[in-house]
Amino acid sequence: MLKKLIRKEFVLSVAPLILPFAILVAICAFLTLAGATGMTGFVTFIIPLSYIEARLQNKDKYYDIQLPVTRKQIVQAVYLSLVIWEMACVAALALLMVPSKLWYDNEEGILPLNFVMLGVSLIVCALCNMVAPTIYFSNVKNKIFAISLSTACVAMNPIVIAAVCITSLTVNDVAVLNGYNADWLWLRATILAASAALFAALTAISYAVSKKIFSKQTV
Amino acid sequence: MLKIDKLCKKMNNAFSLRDVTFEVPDGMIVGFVGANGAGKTTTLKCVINAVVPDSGNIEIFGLNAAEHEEEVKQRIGYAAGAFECFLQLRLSKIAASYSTFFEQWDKAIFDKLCAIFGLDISQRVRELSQGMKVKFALALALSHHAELYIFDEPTSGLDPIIRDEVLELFRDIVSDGKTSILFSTHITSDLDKVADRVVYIDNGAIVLDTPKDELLDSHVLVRGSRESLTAELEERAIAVKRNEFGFVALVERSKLPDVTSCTTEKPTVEDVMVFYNKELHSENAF
Repeated sequence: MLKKLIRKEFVLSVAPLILPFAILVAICAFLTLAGATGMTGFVTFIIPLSYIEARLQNKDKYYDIQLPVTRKQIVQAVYLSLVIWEMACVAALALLMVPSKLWYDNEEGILPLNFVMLGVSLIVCALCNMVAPTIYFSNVKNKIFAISLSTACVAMNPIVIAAVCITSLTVNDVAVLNGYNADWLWLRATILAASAALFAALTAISYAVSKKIFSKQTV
Repeated sequence: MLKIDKLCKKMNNAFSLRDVTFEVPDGMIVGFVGANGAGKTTTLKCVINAVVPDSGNIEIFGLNAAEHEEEVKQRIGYAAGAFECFLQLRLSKIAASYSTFFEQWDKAIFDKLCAIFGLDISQRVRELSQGMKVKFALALALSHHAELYIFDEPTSGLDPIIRDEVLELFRDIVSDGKTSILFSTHITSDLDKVADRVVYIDNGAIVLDTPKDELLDSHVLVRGSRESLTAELEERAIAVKRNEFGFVALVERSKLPDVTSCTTEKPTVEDVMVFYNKELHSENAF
């Protein structure tokens, strides 16, 4: 039954997100080539977040509830779908990094550090995104606590990305010394700030949706 | 088939359900009525385990509903108004995914229902009108040979012709004597047409739970001029409504006094609901 549920998650909830995902990947590919490594975070998490939003919105519509499955199975399916999705995103973005200019400059010791930071941020954000719906969907008695905690988990995304931005910019001071054009740094800073703002907005939406659902006293 | 026993649920520190107890016997259509916020939807959500009750017991097919959720839901068809999920997807895709969960999914029935309802399964959900979304929800719920159907406002948003067809379909479903339907509605004429039993909930508590015919036969609607309204009739009436031409009162047949100067008639389910509601909330009247 779990396998069926996961398949359902991908067919009904994830598949419609693939087109916007492809567009974002294309944008990201361009920006990554331009050196905006932080943008990868944006693409990696926008879809899982959209997925969570979609799940939260659809949760209230009884589709899952009328299926012959338990609440626990629904939570497990959402969790596993997120794991698969996040991992697929990370793999896709890692591939996107390969042809970037930075890849070839790693002899300077800059790229590996960026990669480490990126890797850590990906893992932290992925965990946060996965934990959020799990807490929310689980049958926690204190609903307000569950909503706050899950929202906080999703809110970790902008915090992590912002931390990566700041560190990345500091690191790239070294990159400038190594012959990078300083204009690219401003572009990167702008994109990263926009990403962080977008994540903050998504968090707010997530909270609003959660509250709305909570007020209706479903699952 | 379905037994609900002393179901209690508190929401926002107020009782939403108070000792709700009733049964849905085999082969019957049970109409579940009440005002907005009376507790109808909460009760139905408890039955399908979308809301966890604070206390009480729900037994379906002789099994505890919460403990045997998977098994029980295989045998339940549930629809709650319009289908509002996955708006960007085509109906065929949703139905294909839905069908994988039910052991007894019958594509022939689904296709037949789509034809009856005029549903084009190549359409996307967002392209459907509200009424068509209701029909799609019903088509999904009715296509896996369930033994118990639970519908929350199944006919709201449907035009009178389709509504009539849906109600006919309900009659066909229960004609085998084994399948049962529990449905909530605001459209009391639907109850007049198909319900075998009526359960009336008010403010989270069951007020009436009786076979429809018995309910209608045991009450009388009395109409007359203002002068013909006697103190005895007013005292015995469940409720009295006055207007500029006279009065209308609902009285239990067994308590009916001499009303030769008035006219009497058999009430509809709506009359009974309205008068009981008036009696229950008389202290809040203007």
